[in-house]
Amino acid sequence: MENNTTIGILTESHLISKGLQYVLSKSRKLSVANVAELNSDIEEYISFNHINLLIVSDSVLQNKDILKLYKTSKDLQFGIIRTQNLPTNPMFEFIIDFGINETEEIVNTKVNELITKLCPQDQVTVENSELSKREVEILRMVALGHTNQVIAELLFISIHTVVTHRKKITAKLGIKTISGLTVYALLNNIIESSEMEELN
Amino acid sequence: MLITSTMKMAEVIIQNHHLLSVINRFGIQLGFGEKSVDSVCQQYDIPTDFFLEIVNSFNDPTFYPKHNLQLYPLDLIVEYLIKTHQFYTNNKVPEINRLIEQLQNSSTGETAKAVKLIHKFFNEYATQLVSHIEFEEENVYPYILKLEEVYNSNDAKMVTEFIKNNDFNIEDYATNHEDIEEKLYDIKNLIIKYISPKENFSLCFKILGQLAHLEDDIRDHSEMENKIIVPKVQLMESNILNNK
Repeated sequence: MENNTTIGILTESHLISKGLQYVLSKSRKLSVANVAELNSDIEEYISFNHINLLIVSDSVLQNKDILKLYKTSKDLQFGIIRTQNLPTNPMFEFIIDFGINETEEIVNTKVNELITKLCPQDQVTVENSELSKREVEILRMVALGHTNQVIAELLFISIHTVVTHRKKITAKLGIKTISGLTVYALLNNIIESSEMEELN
Repeated sequence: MLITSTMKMAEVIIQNHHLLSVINRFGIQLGFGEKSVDSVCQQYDIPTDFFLEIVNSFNDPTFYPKHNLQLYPLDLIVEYLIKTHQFYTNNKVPEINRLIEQLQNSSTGETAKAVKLIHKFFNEYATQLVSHIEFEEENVYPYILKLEEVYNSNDAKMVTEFIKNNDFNIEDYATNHEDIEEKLYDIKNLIIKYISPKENFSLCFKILGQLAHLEDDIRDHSEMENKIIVPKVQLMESNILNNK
């Protein structure tokens, strides 16, 4: 499944905001929603846009509303961009911590680390993108139109395990829909078109 | 880049030619010479601010509407959305279909088999897209327009009548384009990974370009529905019910 982290950026500086947006959106796994203005209703904006990571500049962090937001929003993670080297309240924990003068290399490393933290299940590299035997078996059943329930019963495993396998299959192949998986299975001779015709 | 009312319309199109399909939905024809965005909008009787919000949202996915599109009447937005539907069904989908057909006819062996499967997949996608569009145009949009009319009428009798006879609710209409978007993504992915038409590279290239364009356009379209229409309608619904 696609990672569903949406990042909000909240800083007074348009340049910093756009720059952050640029480095973060280089990865398709992260979507970025710019938080409009500090004086707008931030809380509402965050819940409306399903933002689960808010990156703020250190100057904005001094704002009381932000502290309140940090205390009250359990599911919201925070990141910081240090523009003025202001001291930060030690109660804040940041999942990402940028400095304004960092080099491209450091920034990219940090962004990659962030992605790893946010979506460990998506860490599929070329080396391990081959489907396991079990996954091929499950893919075959999905392509033949079986539901998770039926697959679980046929293979004597829990539905939860089927779902986990399916997530892995999607992550490895980059194919999300059942129709797409069916085409993949046909192209790779995991199922035969005659089997499909029997279904119809 | 931010598009403004004083820019030349020609400049706007030169810097992003994908906006051609957007201006087309407003009924604007090419050949605007040196005219500014503002004067072209006036010529076609389109509120310039509204036009700017739309082209800027389309041009820059991170653009945040300043004047807030929610201020504009819903019929203006619905009209625009219906035109984008027409663009999908009358232009984009037939065009892609035609290109895939061409590819199928000119492929042989394994490639032909793969293209045939993808063609079938695309047709399945197109059918789903059409039924989604029909549902919106037959159920959702008429409801929204009626709601707006009743809302603006300030007529207590009309409101009561409306509440009594209406069983639709915008909450029920899950603006779920996810599956539609995911199918398109899969089609693109499958073509890139599994089709290697040595002699038809440029055809494949065209198909991928068209698919990506459709994908972007649909994303923009659902953003408008989810971020503008749904919240505005929810607000009107709750106001009407509370004043009952």
